[in-house]
Amino acid sequence: MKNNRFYLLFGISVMLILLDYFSLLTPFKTPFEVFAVSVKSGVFATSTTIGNFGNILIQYSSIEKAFEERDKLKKENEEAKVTVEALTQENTLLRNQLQAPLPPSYQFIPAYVVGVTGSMELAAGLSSGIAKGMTVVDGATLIGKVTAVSGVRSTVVLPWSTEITIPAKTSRGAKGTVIGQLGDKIILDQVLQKDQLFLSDVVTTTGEGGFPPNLLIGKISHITTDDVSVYKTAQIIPAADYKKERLVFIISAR
Amino acid sequence: MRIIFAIILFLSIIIESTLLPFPVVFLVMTFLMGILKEEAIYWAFAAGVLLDVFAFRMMGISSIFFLSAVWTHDRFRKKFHHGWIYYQFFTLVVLVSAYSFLIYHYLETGELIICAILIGLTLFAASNIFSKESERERLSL
Repeated sequence: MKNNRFYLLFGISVMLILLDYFSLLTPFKTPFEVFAVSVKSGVFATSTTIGNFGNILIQYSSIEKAFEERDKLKKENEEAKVTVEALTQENTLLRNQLQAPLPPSYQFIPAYVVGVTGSMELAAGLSSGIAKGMTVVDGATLIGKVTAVSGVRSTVVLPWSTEITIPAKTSRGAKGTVIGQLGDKIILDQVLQKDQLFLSDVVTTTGEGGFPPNLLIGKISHITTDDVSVYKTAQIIPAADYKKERLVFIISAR
Repeated sequence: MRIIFAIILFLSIIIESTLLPFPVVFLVMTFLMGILKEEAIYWAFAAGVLLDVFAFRMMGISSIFFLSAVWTHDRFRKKFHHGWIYYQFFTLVVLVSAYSFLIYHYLETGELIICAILIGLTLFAASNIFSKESERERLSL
């Protein structure tokens, strides 16, 4: 009797194997498989969570260290991003400076601007090789002249200052002197009556007065003539926005 | 009691089919064979079918293996229960290894050692139960 039951169940098992082999059980198996999958996925997820929890407990100190490390790396990454941004800007400015139509014999000292009030203050001084009287440019545009230098910073007098006079010429050959007015105005003065001045004429340095030649100063925006006077004057719009400069270059050798 | 056995079997089916490539169900069935006696054959068949469904195996494979184990157990019951204990131990180690090799195609020394330890513990627990039971039967007679 017992053997009969065994043979019956054994026969059923063999039958199941055969039916499954020919995929005849698939329609019956599918609902069970759906149930099996849902149960197994839940069990597996739970076991993974439990396993992870165990790992968390065991490696708590190392995880804490890893978190600290992550925060530190995050901070370093942020700093690196800022540095990259600054370096990219600096690189662009340096590229512009290199592309400026200035003689290749010129040597430049880059310096960051730390403030622009009446004059411009630079974060570079004697230690960087800057000396009093050096010309400061941005590309081929004149920024000013170094008037005071300390170890790590220097002061640049801008063209709008009354302390500086710049021998200049216009694109039509009219010569004069650029001097500053109170405020942020610049004028081209001491231009002979016979010399022609036109609006939008470009004003550059002549190469006298300690300034290299052909540095751009600005454009004529307004001309004042008086037949009685010996000279005529013109107001200039500076080519550079001095208040927006970030990095300038000091011509150290010509 | 049967509900507890069913829960234990179901849990071992889930564990074996989800987490552990090791014949846990077979070991549990071995343990239950002695307790369930006549019924063991149905339990073995049901556990085999359920395990096949859960483990996505060909239906009937595990049933055949479990039924064979039950048949062997019944056939050599006297020898197993009153004979040398190492019979049980070695038979089970061989059966478990064969099951692992045939079903999981995986057998290594570490697993064999774990298997031997588990079988030893199972046998120890089973022998305790059966010795108490046979004592009771003897006393009632």
